Amino acid sequence: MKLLDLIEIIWRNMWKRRTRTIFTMVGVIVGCLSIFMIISITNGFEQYLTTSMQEMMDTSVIQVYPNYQSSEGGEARTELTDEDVTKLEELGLFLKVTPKQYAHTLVQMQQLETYISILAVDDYSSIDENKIQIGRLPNTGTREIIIGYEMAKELLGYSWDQKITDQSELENLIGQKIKVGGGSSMIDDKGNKISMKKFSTVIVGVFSSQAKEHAYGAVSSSKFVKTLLRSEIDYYATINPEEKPDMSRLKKYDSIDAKVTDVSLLADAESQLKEMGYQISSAKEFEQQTKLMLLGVNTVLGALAGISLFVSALGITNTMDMAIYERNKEIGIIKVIGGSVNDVIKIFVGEACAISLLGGSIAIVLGFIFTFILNVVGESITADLLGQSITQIAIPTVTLVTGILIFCFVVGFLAGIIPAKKAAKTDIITAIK
Amino acid sequence: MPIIACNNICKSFPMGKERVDILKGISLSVEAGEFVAIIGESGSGKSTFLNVLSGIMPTDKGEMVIAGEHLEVMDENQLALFRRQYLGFIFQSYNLLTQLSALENVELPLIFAGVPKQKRREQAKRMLEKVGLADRMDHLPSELSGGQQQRVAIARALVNNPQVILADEPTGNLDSKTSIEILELLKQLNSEEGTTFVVVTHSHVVYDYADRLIEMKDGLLVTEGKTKE
Repeated sequence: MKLLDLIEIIWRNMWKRRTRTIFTMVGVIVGCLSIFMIISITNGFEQYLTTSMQEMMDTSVIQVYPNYQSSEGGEARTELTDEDVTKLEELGLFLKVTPKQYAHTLVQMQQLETYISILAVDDYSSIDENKIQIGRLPNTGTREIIIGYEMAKELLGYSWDQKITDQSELENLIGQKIKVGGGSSMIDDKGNKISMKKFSTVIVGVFSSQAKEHAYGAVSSSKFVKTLLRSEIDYYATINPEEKPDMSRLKKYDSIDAKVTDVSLLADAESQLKEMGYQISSAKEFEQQTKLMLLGVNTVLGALAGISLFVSALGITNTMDMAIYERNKEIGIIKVIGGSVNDVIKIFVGEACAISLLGGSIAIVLGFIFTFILNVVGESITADLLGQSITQIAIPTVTLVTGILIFCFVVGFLAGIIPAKKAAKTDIITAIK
Repeated sequence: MPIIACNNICKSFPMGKERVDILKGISLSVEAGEFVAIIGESGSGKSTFLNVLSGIMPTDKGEMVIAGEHLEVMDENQLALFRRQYLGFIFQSYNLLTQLSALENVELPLIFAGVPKQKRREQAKRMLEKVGLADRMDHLPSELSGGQQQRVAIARALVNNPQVILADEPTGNLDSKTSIEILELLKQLNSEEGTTFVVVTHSHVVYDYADRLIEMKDGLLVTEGKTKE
């Protein structure tokens, strides 16, 4: 029997029993559509997280942190100093090793108060000027400050989920004098109030929303950051006169950014740093963790959708099994006029596969329609809700489409093979009587 | 060399705890182009013999050779292939597929033989014209009379040019006038195509058309005679 004839026979049989075929197919459609949407949405989520992370951090940069936990590779590095910077440079794996020191402090502008992390920068050439929305970078060695976009929103009185409709509002911040420092105070034995020292500074610029690494922070000169840290040390020295002031804080870094010479060296560099006892973080590691987490989500949700596909497979088997009784005479006639056992098996397995594949194909078409709607609706919802639009909430892939079709074929084949073998064993004499 | 050669064919069926012998050692030889009628009362074993002869039902014992091929040693797929190439079947109840038109029913054996669509359509049309149904090709079986349905079944049996046609009570469901028409058609095809016919019947009408009459009784061939002599 030729393939085209087989397809024609299968199509005719399905059309003859179209109501039952459609109902059987609905099960497959529901199962496949669920899998399609779950995987598309997690694809979209994964891409969103990865893109956001890549916007926030350079993918070729490993962020090195002090390690406060016991290290597998021996001694844990509990602090980062110039010595560590030199060690990393000597590894020869990194193009640039940038230590980062922050002052975590209170900031006051008129009636508004909030906490901020100010990054110390000596060399402003390391900052991409394209990421400045308005104003300029601070002058070297001064107390001038450039703040992040979200921090600017906060100082303008916006909440995190609100959008700045008129960007020119940001101009009002430029030149604004703000107070940095303070935040902690206490009354001593004599009843005097002891407070952390406050410093006046001026906002000279605002980073754009693209500069996510500075979104809730600010950047100023290393000299000013050290002044803030010193005032903190002095405050604690005043309130604890019996304790020796810890001046080492001025030499400690919060983190070190190590940019690899080649992205292919990233994994190797990461493992070396871990062995050296550092705690690290990179876009790659984040990506791996995200993938692992989403794989877990996919597995759980996919298994739930798989149950409905399993039920639909049973539906196909039931439909085909019933067909044997209904088409007993037809099978007998086919066999008596020269149809072989294999021909009968091909017809029955083919019908089961056709129901499953057609159901899968319809699910894929519906999936694309739903994805389109979801992305269009989602774009405006996320724009309102998050302040930035996510254009692709669900992303179907070629692998997903191919996977569903292959899966449907396998489900159809397995669901059809038992009834098909049963049909092939039909006794001709009983059937044609 | 005979086209059909059976030697000591035996067949029994279980009935309760015992087995009942239906065919008790039948030997028969049919020459190519012969029109043989097997007659006998109900329960004599003639239909069972026809089923065994076609390979639909396996024998318990004996040798069965059709067109030089030993059927008793073939498996199910080999038997299907054999039936496709050498045998045609005509049944009392026509056994047409109700959802297919007359033309599609006749095409069916050629589909399983892998004949291309165009060619098999031509062959099927030619055969329907030969059985006098040129104007009924697109009709469903339900739209045809009993005689017309049997003509479709005859066309289907002959469409792949088999060497042997096995017919089980081909006129059993027809009135006497239509029965004569069908038998005349079978005889005409037998003469024109040279196809061998083995017809199982208990109708006396067939006596006038058969070259040889074989009577079966209690699972044995009891008499043989030539009707035209």
